[in-house]
Amino acid sequence: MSEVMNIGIAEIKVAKCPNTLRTVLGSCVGVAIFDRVAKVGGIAHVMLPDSSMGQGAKGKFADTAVIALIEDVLMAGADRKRLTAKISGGASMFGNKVDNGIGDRNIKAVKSRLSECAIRLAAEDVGGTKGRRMLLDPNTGDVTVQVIGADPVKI
Amino acid sequence: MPADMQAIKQNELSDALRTVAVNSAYNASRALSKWFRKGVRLTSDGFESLPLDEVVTAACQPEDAVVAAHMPLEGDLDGNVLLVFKEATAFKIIDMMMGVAEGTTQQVGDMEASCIQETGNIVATAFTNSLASWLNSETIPAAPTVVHDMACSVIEPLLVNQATIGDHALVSRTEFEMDGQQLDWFLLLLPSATSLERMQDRCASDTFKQNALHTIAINGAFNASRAMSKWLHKGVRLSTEGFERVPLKEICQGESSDTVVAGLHLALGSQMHGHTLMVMTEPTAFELVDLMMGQPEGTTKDFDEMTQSCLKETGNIVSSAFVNSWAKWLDIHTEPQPPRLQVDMLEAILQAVVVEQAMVSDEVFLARTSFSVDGRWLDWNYYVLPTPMSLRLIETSLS
Repeated sequence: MSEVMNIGIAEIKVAKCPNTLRTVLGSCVGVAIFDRVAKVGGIAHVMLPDSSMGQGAKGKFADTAVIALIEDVLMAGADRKRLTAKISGGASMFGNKVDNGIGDRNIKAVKSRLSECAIRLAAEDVGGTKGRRMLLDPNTGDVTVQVIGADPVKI
Repeated sequence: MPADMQAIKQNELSDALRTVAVNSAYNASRALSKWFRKGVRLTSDGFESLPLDEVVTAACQPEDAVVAAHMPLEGDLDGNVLLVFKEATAFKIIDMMMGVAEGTTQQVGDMEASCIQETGNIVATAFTNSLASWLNSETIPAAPTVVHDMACSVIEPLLVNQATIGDHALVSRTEFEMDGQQLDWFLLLLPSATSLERMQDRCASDTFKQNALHTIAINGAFNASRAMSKWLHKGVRLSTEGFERVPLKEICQGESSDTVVAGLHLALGSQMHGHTLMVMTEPTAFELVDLMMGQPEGTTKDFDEMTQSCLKETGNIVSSAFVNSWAKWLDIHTEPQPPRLQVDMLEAILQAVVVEQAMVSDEVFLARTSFSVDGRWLDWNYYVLPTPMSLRLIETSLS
């Protein structure tokens, strides 16, 4: 029986087919990294761009979360050469005055870390002012993003 | 002191030490991951206060063979730290550190002992540094001594000192995972009588601050209730349990993270900075607007200009009443900024207001308030989240 695994703020989780992963994003960025052949994938729920800004769980910061997620999917059986990423989130929910543009900074930091790690970014649905529900199906590598009041979109 | 009173005091202390233990485990994970060059995760639920006769059996059987690193603590925080590995776990770690096939190590010679010594050093230093920082004191772990013996023989001698000051010992059981594999070990911290007293004093000071913050939150809720009752011409009651620390991943606190809510955000400025956020489900928001406009229930159906303006005014009234009461109590000045409304998923909205606190902790310090109108509870919550710097200002004002 398949399970939908929920990912909270600053968490990193990995799932294998037939399980799927789900998270809700505002200014945070969801980074999905998967291997379609091994049918393994994970999501990191990134909240802040850089671990030098503070302290806490690896999943909280873009720089440490991307590395930790790669390690976790590899440990679950993925092949590094086949890893692909898709990202979502990074909205500005109450305007930049409230959040100091943290959404945009998270997006930039995640992209930069993925590039440093030579992980191909296949798709993104980021920015704006709306929250997103993000789902990853490790079986297909499909990432489905939904904002309230709109139909889900595959990216 | 009677044994049960002592147990209660020890348990209060254990609560206060939970955050210290969780942070220590995180620091130790980072240090050990670097040391082993592997993904190492230590997770701790905190410290438990155990009766002395249960300390050994809490982790293993008294006759189990264990390998332990013992480190006496010197400095302001003195006492003993003991890191205990079940024999099989210790051998596995040694094999890995020596780069030999699993199952090779069968005894603890000088080389093997030095592997356990260094691991013990890294973990104990991470733990005691966090503890010392909490106590604003200094501690120096001495060089570890490694013993390979039965659990009972290793642990019992260290309980002698603890037995002279009480019937309980503080134990932190830590789960240890390497490359996804669980390994058995635990950490025993035995502070001296003076250090235990310092920890209890610090705990009492924290409890005082916690009680004061609780009073502030209750007063704020009371003032906001009066203001809202006048505004709506109804009996409105705001009820709060005071401030609490909530892990980041649990900020929705039992609500579904994708519940659609109307979120009213007011930033706090001047001497105290932070956020207030009022969230209510869509039906509650529409019901509230109908109440305010004196319309039959069900009239309001969308977030048009009038709905938004009614909700923003409600946010203004509640936040001003709550925060003014708070500022008065602390003798500081703060001003809620103009409100902003966003209709979206609960977790997406909450993320925007916890960013500052998330920089310094994996927990969020917040006060949550629920509402009732004429005795009926509504799906309506109000959050107050000071920034870390303002939190320090509040704590200083309370000292």
